[in-house]
Amino acid sequence: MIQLLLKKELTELLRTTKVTWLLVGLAALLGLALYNGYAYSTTRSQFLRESQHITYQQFISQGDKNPHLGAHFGFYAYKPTADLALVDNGLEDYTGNSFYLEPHQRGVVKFREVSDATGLRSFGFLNAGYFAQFILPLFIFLLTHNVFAKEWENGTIKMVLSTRVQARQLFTGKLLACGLVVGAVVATLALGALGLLLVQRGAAGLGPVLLTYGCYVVGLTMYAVLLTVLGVAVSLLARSSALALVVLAGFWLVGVFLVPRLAGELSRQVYPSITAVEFDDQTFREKEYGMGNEGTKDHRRALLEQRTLAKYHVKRLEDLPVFYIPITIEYFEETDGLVMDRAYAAVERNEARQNAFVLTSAVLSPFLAFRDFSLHLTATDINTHNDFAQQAEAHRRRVGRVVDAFYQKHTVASNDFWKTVPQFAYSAPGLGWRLHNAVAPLVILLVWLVAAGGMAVWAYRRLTA
Amino acid sequence: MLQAEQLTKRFGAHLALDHLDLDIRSGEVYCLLGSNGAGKSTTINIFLGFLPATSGRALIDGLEVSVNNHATRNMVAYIPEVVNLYPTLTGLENLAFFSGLSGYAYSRAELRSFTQTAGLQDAALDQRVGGYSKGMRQKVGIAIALAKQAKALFLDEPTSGLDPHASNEFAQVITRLSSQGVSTLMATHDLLMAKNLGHRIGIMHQGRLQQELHSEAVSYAELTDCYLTTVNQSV
Repeated sequence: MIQLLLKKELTELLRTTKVTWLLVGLAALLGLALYNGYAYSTTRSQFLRESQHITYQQFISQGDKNPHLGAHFGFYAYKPTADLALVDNGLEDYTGNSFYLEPHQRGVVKFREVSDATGLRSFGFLNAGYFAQFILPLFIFLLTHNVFAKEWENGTIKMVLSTRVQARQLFTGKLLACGLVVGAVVATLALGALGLLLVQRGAAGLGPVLLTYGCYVVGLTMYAVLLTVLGVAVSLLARSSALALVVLAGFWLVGVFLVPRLAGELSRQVYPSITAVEFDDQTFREKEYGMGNEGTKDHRRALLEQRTLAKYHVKRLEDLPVFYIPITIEYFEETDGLVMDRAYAAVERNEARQNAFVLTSAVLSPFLAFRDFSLHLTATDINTHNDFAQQAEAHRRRVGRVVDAFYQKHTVASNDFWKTVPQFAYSAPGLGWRLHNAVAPLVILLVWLVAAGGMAVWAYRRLTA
Repeated sequence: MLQAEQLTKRFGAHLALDHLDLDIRSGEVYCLLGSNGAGKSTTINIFLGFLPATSGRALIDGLEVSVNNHATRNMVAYIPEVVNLYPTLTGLENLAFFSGLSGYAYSRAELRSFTQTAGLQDAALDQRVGGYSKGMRQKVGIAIALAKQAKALFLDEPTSGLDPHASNEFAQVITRLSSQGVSTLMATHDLLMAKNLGHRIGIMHQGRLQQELHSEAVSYAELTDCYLTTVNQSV
């Protein structure tokens, strides 16, 4: 019986002109989304890899110089393109991709893609993630809105219910038919992206990301199922195509446009961000006057001098067996580093509170929950960006220590020394870390799935009544 | 075959059906006449299980509809004023689908025999129903009833809007089914059709069965007079 219902539903759907055009349009968008993701991640990945190589080569080929001046020559730490940026580039365009490694000051991540993009970028970047988050739900709602409603509008429901078919079978048949069409779209998306990942990374490179990608696909499937169930349930409850479409399209508009923007705005009101001027002023004061009772910079400089003289059992700096300047550089690098660590930690805590606030609003919008899940799984989220910034800062200090240690004994560094300065290489944290970050949106998606199921049961009971 | 025992239906304060008693034998064609809102369609909807009765019982072949809805639905076919079919499916696909829902899987030749009996031309079988006339849809509806091997037919204004030829063809099919033992309960405004096709005629008004006549015992003129008198007296 269900097979019969399924066959009829699929025949009907595929013979409906608007569904045919919808599928044609969807296929074009999906193809474009996959191509965009592939082209973006491939080009960007190559550019960043080459840039990292070039900047380091320039640094280690700078020739004979005072070590500290040579350190100021500096080089960039580039954030490599995320391993699943082909699927979803998330916040990559907005967070910047490079961090300048130079003594004394923690770098600020630079080169945001959007700064070089045209105004059209404000519409968003069409890739697989964007397609899944925003276009797929609209397609599902357009597909499902009249799956039951049309039976009432055409009057066929009485003809159907005057047969031996049971409401359960009718419901299952329609849900399965919609599920099959949606499943075909999701499978095309998932397999298309997988094929492009294989082309991009090769068989050997695919292995490490396969499990993460599998988890992404599981989340995507769950998202598609909940939206399909929701669409069918609304169609059954509304009993009017127009009403069902208004409800579902309204839900999409509110969930995609209103809730995220409102939540973002409110999160900034509730947890205001520190301004750049305030941040600079605060960190300057703490560097100059200390974070606690350790005294002013001059006082600490005097104490350092006393400690150093005592350590080497001499009375004058000129009598030290090592250069004193790198010792002060290293000392203030560490103390200023503590100030900056604390300041950035406060910024990140506030960001985390804002993000948690926004994520909470996902109880009103499954689109937001899936977006968050997608960002975490593809490592294009703010957490990964902060992890990169921390590792780049740690590398900057590592380079400083290497240079300062050399500088204490040598006033000139040659390329032989510069080659000993370690290159920067960042790799995003693995699946465990990503899943840990994705737990909250995943739970919200599960709650939505259960709620959609509950709504479907309620709608089904109305059908049987 | 079809029995209504003190069947009553209320929609809030409105009494749509008032203690209706009916007993329709196998092979009998029973026509319900009455103005709009008389309770004809409500009666059919209760027999089909689309509406629950407020009180009383509707029975099909001895089974109470409200208790054995799944079983009773297997025994009946329903042809409304406009037979609503799936417009993107062909006539044959619609027939295969609805007979399949009733548990019958027929070959194309068997399905074709039902449509032939119903009077649908072969040329129309593989055309989408969206392009069918009302009469053609009615014929598919009859073919569905034949394919379901229904013991009882419920017809709700089935000839409304049909041309005389199509209406006559329809009547012939119902008569043939009647001779095969199929009971029919038909709600109609068409007094002539009721007189010619029905064995018995019930005249309803304001939810009550006001008159019951044997069609052989009355002329068309007497039936018309009785109908108008009943309806006007009750206003």
